[in-house]
Amino acid sequence: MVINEKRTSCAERELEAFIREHQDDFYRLAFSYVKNADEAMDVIQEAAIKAFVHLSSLRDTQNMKAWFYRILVNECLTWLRKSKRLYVVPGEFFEGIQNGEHTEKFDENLDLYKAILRLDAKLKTVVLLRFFEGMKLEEIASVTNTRLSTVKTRLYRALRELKSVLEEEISA
Amino acid sequence: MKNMEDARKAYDTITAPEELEKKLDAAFLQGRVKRRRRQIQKKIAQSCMCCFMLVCMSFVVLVNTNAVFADTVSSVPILGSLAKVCTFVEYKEEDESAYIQVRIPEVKDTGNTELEKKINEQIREGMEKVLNEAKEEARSNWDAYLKTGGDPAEYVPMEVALDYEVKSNEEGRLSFVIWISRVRANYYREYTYYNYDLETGKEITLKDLLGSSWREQAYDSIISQMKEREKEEGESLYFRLDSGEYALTELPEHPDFYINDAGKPVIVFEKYEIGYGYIGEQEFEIPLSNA
Repeated sequence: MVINEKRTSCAERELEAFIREHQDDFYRLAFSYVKNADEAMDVIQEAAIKAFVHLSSLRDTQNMKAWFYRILVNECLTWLRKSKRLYVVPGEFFEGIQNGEHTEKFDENLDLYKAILRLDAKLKTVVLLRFFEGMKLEEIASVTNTRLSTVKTRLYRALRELKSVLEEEISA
Repeated sequence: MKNMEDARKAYDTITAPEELEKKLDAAFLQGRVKRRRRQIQKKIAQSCMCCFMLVCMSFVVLVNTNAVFADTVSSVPILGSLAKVCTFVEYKEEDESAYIQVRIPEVKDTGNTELEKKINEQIREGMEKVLNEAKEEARSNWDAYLKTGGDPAEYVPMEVALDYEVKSNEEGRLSFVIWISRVRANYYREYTYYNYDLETGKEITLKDLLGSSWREQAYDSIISQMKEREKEEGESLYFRLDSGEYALTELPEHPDFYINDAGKPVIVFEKYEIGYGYIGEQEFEIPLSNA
């Protein structure tokens, strides 16, 4: 039992370090769902607590990334279900972005980003994880707890929906 | 030019507010506490490794002790069963050293606000004292743990619960017990009883209920009840001396007791006090004399 405890507390430290290291990534992702700084932080907080509580369910800390993203994405989706705030409120949206210097380029890029935010939550998850978090399709399948074929279908559908905004060809 | 790379750049410019650090600190603490609690629950379910430490404080409040006066008064619906024990405060608190749940009672509607106030103050003082003791113990355990190089991540916070139970509320007598329990991997237990007379505000003893020979009377009653219980069970339950006599040779000067619905004192012995651990706490109802 002692060895087991040691091992789990080691996992706790690892989890803590992992969350701290990637907190900006988590924030961006959470923000893309909830579109509000306070709510995004609350969602991350809730996800972090859940991660601690269910840490024993993570057998191998090698899988921590996919495991934590799954908790976080689920937390975001739960938040969406509860709040039913499914579309962007522009004012709120800009308030949440903590970058003071909005360049023209940024605003232009924002069109696509905003279009992504308007996607259905399931499609959005795939796009965010694939293009912004740089995950492989296999990893996304693991995070969303779906089959690889489902991920591919969703990605394809998402890109089709974004096509009008996307002027250039994109490589998946 | 719009493509995913550029959108990603826009995405990457989103930075987390500084507050997130604090929120994460809070989340890590809370997550650890919750996790510990789950582990504790699992451990309790799996084995009896944890002992319950009980510090029992019992307040036996007598609205009046004069039997004649009680008879008169019971027909007047001012005192007596109108007296209530309500939850005064209920709260939870937690930090890395302890998880605390508290329900503190207060006495109401006795018809005597002055004494009510006095008793409620005494209850609160008593509660504060035991709670602070528990917190100090939790804190010093935590400090000692850290000083000896313990890993904060592995620490199991002490669980403290403070609650009450009304034993009886009849004929102008109000009897209730307040208890505090602490769960740790060691064993500690203590009882403190307070008895008040609402009329005079003085402390009440068994003598007031049973008369001047209360000690012998109660002792005899207890011994005969112990014999009965052993006969029923068909085995030895209580500690005995080499001579075969019970180890309980006389009652303590201030035994713990409460008053039951029948208006009789019930003397309580804690676990291990007079018998083997498996019989737990032992309670003996003492018949009232005509004194």
